[in-house]
This record gives sequence, structure tokens and C-alpha cells, in this order.
Amino acid sequence: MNEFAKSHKFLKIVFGLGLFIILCLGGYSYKHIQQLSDTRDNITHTYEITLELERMLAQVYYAKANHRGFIISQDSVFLHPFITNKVKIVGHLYNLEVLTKSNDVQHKNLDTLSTDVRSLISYLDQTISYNQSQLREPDTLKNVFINSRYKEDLIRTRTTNMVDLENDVLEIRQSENSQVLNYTPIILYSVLILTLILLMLAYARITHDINYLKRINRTLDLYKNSSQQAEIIGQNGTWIWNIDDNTFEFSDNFYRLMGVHPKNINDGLDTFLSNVHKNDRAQLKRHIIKMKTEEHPPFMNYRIIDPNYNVKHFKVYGQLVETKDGQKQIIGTTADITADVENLYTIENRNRELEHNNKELSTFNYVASHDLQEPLRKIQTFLSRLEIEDKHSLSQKGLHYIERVKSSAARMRMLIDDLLQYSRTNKSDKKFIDTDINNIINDVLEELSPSIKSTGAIINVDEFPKMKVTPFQMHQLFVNIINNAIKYRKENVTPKVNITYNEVKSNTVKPLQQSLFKYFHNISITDNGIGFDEAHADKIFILFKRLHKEKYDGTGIGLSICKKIVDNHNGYILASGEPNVGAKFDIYIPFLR
Amino acid sequence: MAENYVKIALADDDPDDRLFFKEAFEELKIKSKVSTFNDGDTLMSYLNNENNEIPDLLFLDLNMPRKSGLECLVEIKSNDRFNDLAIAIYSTSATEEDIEYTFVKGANIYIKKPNDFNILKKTLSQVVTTNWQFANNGLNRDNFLLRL
Repeated sequence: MNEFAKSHKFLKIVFGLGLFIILCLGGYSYKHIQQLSDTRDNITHTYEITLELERMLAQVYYAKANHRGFIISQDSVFLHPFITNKVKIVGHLYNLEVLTKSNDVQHKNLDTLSTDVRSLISYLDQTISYNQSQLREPDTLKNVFINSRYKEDLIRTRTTNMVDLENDVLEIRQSENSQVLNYTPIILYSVLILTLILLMLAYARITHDINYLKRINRTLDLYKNSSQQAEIIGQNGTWIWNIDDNTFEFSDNFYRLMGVHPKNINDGLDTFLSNVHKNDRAQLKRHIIKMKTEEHPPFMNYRIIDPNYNVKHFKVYGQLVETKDGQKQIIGTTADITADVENLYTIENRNRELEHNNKELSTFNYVASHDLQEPLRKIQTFLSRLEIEDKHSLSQKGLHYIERVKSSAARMRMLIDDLLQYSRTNKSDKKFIDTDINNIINDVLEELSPSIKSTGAIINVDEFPKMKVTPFQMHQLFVNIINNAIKYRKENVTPKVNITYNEVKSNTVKPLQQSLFKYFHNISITDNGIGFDEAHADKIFILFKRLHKEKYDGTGIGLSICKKIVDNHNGYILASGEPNVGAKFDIYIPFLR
Repeated sequence: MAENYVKIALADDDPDDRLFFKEAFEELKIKSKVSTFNDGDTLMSYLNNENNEIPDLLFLDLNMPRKSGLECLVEIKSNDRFNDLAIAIYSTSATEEDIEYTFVKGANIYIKKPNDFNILKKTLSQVVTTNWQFANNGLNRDNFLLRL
């Protein structure tokens, strides 16, 4: 654009310069033609003067010849032409007078000449007026003739001088002019070349600009194509509404969205509104008024009915712009959001279903926690009553049966408790609080102190930093894992549990590499218990999966709860082990720096 | 004579629980007078009758028909007549919400019904022998749920 503006300026300058040069050229040429015509006038002038002088001289000769004839013959036949000659001489003198007006020197010369001519004529006239007797006096006549002869020579000399002078003047003028005229072709030629160069520069510039424009046009064409594609992919269309004459310009894809063939509708607003769902029409009209007045009107959703009577959901945004000539236009984009709206409905329905399911689940939780526990509790309490009150009246077998019922009831209680614990470990409890993990571990050890004391377990705990966690879930996590470590101990070996802390980066541990987080707290809990086969490492977190069913009591829920808790914290839990050596649980909880 | 007896009341809709409760006190060597109510309604109409004696200690089941234990708790705590009445929640379940709510509403202790008669006896004896007038001074959320 900038380049273009510069070019425009350049062209203007070249054009102005060209115009100026041509004007100069015109003036210059005019001046030279003027000069040429001056030269021609000068030549004519000189020629006229020369001619006039020659003519006058000839008349002087004629007059003298006639005068002689008359003197000799005394016949008036000669007298008459002599008079005519005199008149002509005067006429020529007058002409010369006029012609030499512009030249002072020549004028003076002419004055002397005409004095001489007049004195010659007066000599001649003298002799004419002489009578016969006088003519007989040879001295007088001779004098007159000698004088006239003398004057005649003088006249001839003067005339020749004047002609020479005139020629000199002409020569000077001509040489002056020819000097100027010699330069003329060179100047004209060079100016012409300059003009040509300017024209060529302008041409080059224009060609360059045209190429530039062509390139821009090609790019625009590409953009137009890609924006058309974008419209098709993005399910949207653009439109321009000329408010003043109420006409629309729609992009091709807009017609497709409307479900009609391109260029099938292009009437005013009312025709367009007739396609809009009748419940949305009034609101859309109000929105259009908003578009006309507000600088940043909000989006609006409305529905249209296409020719096949399908309802489509549209979203529109438009803004008022004013063209250079003051025309008001609204430029807008309309997107077909039918699919989104339908998806939203589906998602809403699913959410409602999920909410319903969740409600059912929590009802079930309550039933499990209260209604199932109550009869079980009573069974257990009655059993304890029976055991104490009627111990002596029961047979050995009866006591054994009671023992079996008690253990079954205890197992059922454990299952119910663990299941409840599992179902309560919900993400909805996710309130991450800055928590001192050391306190949590102390609480857990306090809670587990009976089994720690009874087994003599040694538990080493690192110093832990604060973590952003849900405290009671972390509590449960430590309870379950430390409990397991003590529970699955080797016979006759003091259980040892090491709880250590490390800070790791996600790229150093393979399973963490897919995580979005970069830093993790790594809590490792290692024991020296019975361990497990590495091949089962993944299975142990599956609900109800139990590796040591035969010898140990358990529900197969504890580690599933652990997994769920760690998942809730966006973390990872990994198990590794070796039979008869021990097990290791690595917990990774992400945190932000 | 009346001073030697601890007056204890229980509101519980479950006949078995009422039975265990009574039997436990019979076996405990505590001088006590136990009265039981089948639901919240009968409990409240007894308490609201000014001719009746106010018990020293009330055990409240939460889940009862007609009037729940929570409703009774709120009603009792809003009446100055029962300022000296200590209230123990006595329920099958011990959900966080229930514990939190009853603590906020002013119950003195939360007991989860044990599933062993001997533990029941131990629990009840501990609750009854606690002097609630003094114990309340150190009342806090952590020891609200009774653990043995």
C-alpha cells in the first residue's frame, strides 16, 4: 500500500514534469519560428531597399538620358518622360524614407542621398529652363554637366554604400540568428529525449504497479477461495445489508446454509425475515435495530425454517459500517450452529441422566450405610449377647457355629465399609488444600498404632513438604498402604516400612511423560513383606482383585480406593514388587511451580 | 433420693436398639433411670410437658419416622428450659454431613452404634460418667465423634 502511494506520487511528478517540458518546448519553438520569420523579414527588407535604390538609380539615369535628349533635340518628346522620371524618383525616395525608418544610419545616408538627388534634379531643371541662347554658352552648360556628372557619381557611390551597409546589417543579423538557430535542433532533440526518458520511466512504473496490482489481485483471489472454503468447513456465511436501498449481498455459502440455491433470494429484509422462525422474528428485528445503533452489538441466536421445513439454528454477528460515499451497511457473519445446539441438547440430556444416576447412587450409598448396616449390627450384637448369656447352655458345635456366623458377619461388615469408602471417594470432594503431609502421616500412625505395636513394625518417615491435596483422602491413602505393608508381612520377620519423599520431573519417569504437569511429588512406600510377582503389578489396583486370597483376610477394595484417590489428585500410583522380598508403592502427585 | 439417679432418655424407633440400650444399663452398675421413646414426636411431647422431669442425658437416634432426631435437636436447643440437657447423637451411620450438622447444632457427642454388646456397655458407661457441664468447656470438632 505504501509502495503504491509512493508510486502514485511519482507518476504525478513525472506527468507534471512532462507537461512542463512540453509547454517550455512549445514556447521555445514559437520563439524560434518568430526569429526565423524575423530573418526572412530582414532579408525582404534589405532586398526591398536594394531594389528601391536600384530603381531610383535607374530613374536617375533615365532622367539624365531624357534630359540629354531634350537638351540636344529641344523636342518636348523628351521633356514629358523626364517629368515622369522625376515623379518616380520622388516616389522611390518616399518609399526609401519609409523603409529606412527603423535604421538611423541608413536614414541619415538616405537624407544625404536624397539631398544629392534633389540637387542633381535641380541642376537638370536649371538646364531645362535655360533658353536657347543660354544653351549656346558652352561654359554654363559645361558647368552644369560637370556638376551633374559629379553629383551622379556621388549618388552612385552613396547608393552602393547604402546597399553595402544594408547587406552588412543583414549579414550581422543573419549570423546572429544562425547562431541561435544552430542550437535549436540540439536543444529540441535533447528535450525530446528527456521527455521520452520520463515517459519510459512512467511506463516502467505503471507496468510495475500493474504487476503489483495483479499479484495482489491473485492473492485476493486466493483469499476469496480459501475464505469460501473456510465458510463451508466452518458452516458459516457472510452478508452485507445495504440499509438505504434495503438490498442484501450474501456469500454463496450463506445460501447453502439457508438451504436454497445461490442467488435464489435477494429481496429485502422482509423476504429474509419470512424464512426466520416466527417465534424468533420479533427478537431478531429488535436485534437488527441494535446492530444499526450499537458499535459492538452482542451475538444473537435465532432459528430459520429451510425450504424442506427443517429447523436450523443460526448465530449472527453484525456491525454497522459507513462507506466512503455515506451509504450505511451492516456487515455480518452468520454461523449454522444446529449441530452444536443438538449436541448441547444431547449433553444436557446425558447430564440429566448422570445426575439422576448419581442421585440413585447416593440413595444406594445411604441404603448401604444405614439400612444394610443396621440389621448386620443387630446380628452382631445379638451374637455377642448369645455368646455371653448362653455360653454354658450351648453345645461345642453350637459355639463353633456362632464363631462361623460371627466371622461371616464381620466379613460382611468389612465389605460394606470398604465399598462405602470406595463409593465415597468421589471427585466431587475435590477440595485441594495446602496440607502438611507430616501431620497426616502422624495421624495415620496414631490410628494404626494397635497393629504397629502388636507386630513391632518399624516405620521410617522422611520429612515431607506441604502439598495441595484433599486431606482426608490422603489420610485414607496412607492408611490403606501402610496397613497393607503391615498386613502382608513375612512370618517371623519384623515388618519395616520406609516412607520417602522425592521431587521429580515428569520427563524422568516413564508413565508421567504423558501428563500435562511438569513437576511431581513422589511418595515411596517400601516394605519388606511377602511382595508379589511383578507380572501382577497392574492387576492389584483392580476392584475386588486379590493376590493373596488364601492366607490373608481382605476385600480387594483397599488398593482400588488408593488408585481412585490418586486419580482424583491427577496423579499416578505404581506398584512394583518381588516375591518374598517386598513391595514398593510409588505415588506421584503433580504440583505447579 | 432423686439426686442419686442419672436420668437417661432414649429416642429410637428400633425396638431391638431400645432393648440393647435398656439391657446395657441394667448390666452396668450405674444408678440410672432409663426412659425410652419410640419416636421424636412422643419424645418432644413428653419434654414439652412442664410437669415432666427433664432428663440429664438424652440419646437421640437420627433416623426416625414423623420427627427425626435432627428436628428434635434443633427444637431442644432453641428452648432455654433444656439448657442443662446433654445430648448424645446415637446413630447407625456416621456420615461426615451428619456429624458436621449435629455438631454445629449443638449436640454434645456423636456415638456410632457399636456392633458388640460389650462395646456398647463400655461406650454408654463412658458417656454417662462424663460430667457434661465441664466437658463442654473443652468441646471441639475432633473429639466430637466418640472413639473407644
